[in-house]
Amino acid sequence: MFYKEWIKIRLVFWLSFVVGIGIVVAMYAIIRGELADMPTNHYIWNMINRNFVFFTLFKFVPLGIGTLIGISQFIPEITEKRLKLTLHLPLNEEKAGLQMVTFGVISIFIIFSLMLFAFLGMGRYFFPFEVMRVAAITVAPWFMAGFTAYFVTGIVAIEPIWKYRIAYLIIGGLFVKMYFVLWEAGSYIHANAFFAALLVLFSVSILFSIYRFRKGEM
Amino acid sequence: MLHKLSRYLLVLIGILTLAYSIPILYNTLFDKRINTPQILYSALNDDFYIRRHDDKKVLNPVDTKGKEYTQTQMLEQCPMFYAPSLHQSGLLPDSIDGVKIDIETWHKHFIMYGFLPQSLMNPSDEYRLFPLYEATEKITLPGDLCRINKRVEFVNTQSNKVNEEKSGLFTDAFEKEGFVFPAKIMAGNSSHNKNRVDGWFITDQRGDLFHLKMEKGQPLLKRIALPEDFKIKYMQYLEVQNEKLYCFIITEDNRLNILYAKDYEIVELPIYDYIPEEHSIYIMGNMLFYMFQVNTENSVAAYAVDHDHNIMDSYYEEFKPKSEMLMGKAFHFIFPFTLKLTHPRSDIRYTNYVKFNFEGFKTFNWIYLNLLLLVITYLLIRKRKLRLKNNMVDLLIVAATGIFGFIAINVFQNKEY
Repeated sequence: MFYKEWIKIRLVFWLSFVVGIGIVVAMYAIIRGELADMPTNHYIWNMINRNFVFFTLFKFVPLGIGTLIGISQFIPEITEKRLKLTLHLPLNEEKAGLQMVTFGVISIFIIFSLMLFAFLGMGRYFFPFEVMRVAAITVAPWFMAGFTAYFVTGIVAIEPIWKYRIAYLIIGGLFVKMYFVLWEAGSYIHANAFFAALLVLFSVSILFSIYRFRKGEM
Repeated sequence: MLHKLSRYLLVLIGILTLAYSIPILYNTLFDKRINTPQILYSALNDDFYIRRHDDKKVLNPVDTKGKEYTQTQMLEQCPMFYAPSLHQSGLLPDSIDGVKIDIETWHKHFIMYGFLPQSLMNPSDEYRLFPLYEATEKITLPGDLCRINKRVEFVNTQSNKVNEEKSGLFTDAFEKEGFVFPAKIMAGNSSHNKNRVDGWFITDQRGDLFHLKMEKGQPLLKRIALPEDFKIKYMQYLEVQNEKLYCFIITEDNRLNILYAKDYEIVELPIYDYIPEEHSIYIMGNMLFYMFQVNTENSVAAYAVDHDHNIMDSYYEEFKPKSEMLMGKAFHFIFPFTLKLTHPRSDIRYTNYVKFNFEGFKTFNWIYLNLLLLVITYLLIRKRKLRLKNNMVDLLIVAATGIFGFIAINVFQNKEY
């Protein structure tokens, strides 16, 4: 079951992995170049007093990774009508659906943790702890947007009726937009916990689509 | 069962998303701008002047009796606000109320600051690092940043390492003065573009206030005596030319105070209706008086205060709040509540923080639309030949959340098989 999922996403997984880590490395390469021209104290001063955000480069990268993994995992199921078969296996449909989503979430989680680890680890080489703490608070909603995009892709892909697909896409898009309301570093410090809770609730939602899909097809 | 629950979770997220997005769409289409007037105080004839502007042009200023002035007349009436331009045209009076006026002393005493929620609460405060300038030398940005957690630490920005020697020196000075780590509020000017170094004003764990300076590499920490029951909520450092003031302090009970440089005297200001999270305040000071203008969503108040901190005169004006305009009334008919992640930038309450603010259920106007939607939902249930028993929760959702719930339950439909 998991091996089937892995075959579907392995190409996208490695691609996301390379792009995700590559962007972080490229970003610090650029910063290293900038720090050669500008003293570090002025660079940090700009962050603290001018709302300068040094990591905007990968703002939408997690979002893209989440969407791509979602597409590679769910679209083949629909176009090749495999999900129907899966759900007719003598397995609990909820369990089958949850397994699929769990696999996707774990793959995204691996990529994102490695990205975050690289981002914070390399950042600590250049900047004090406080700077990276605020940076972590700032990137948290971007990563959550990646997970949300994954779930939205799943719900939209599995939905059999086009009318609802579009409606889900609009609501999902507006939900993703809530992660990008403000660009200032540290803005989401009071909101991250709420968003994380919403995301956990949202993660169960794929079952609704699978249920509809199965009932609709029968 | 889990798929039923998953549907309600989707409906919940749908409602939150819509409660955030639809009001924004509505405001983008119909929002109106409120033009808050600017209030000036004239020391010449002890009266307030009100400058208004509508959407297109600046209107002629009026005084409190409604008499209209031209722009140039107003400049002459309020010399304390427009001294430089009056000085250029030679119209600056020599003295007012026996106080000699010249442009140099005016420059020295003139202060103009505005405190908005977004300047009192800014995410960049989360960095909790500040540069400590050397007070005796030429002002240049130091190569290290100071943090005050379990002890005082100076991080060299180039090597990203703590300077142990300097950190130890400062920690000792802090402990000697009875500072309880960690620091809470830190107020100061971190810019290197300034005339002098006043250092930083720091409160400790217990809420006591200290003044930190560095002279010739040595720490200089002084405890500042606070009045009784004085709990600091916000502190803003003001760099004024005449070196008379240090800070503007707002206490937990929303009282305004000035921290003077002389003997660290703290004086309470006679302004009682200011809420720092919701209002903005503008401070204007000169050698004759202070003027404070407090703007709220639907009113403006101005206070002229003399240098002994007594109110000389005050002005108050209310205008129609948005909720009473057509767009605001319609808003309350359509939306039972809204989810605001931020306030709009035009709102006084705007800050650079994202928070989950639920606003609403203030009036009961939304009840009509909710009832209508409830009936429609009921008819839809009948039309689809669904059992009422299975759709009770849907009806409750529509009754409570109105248009948001109605859209959400119809997008994520309840199907029975």
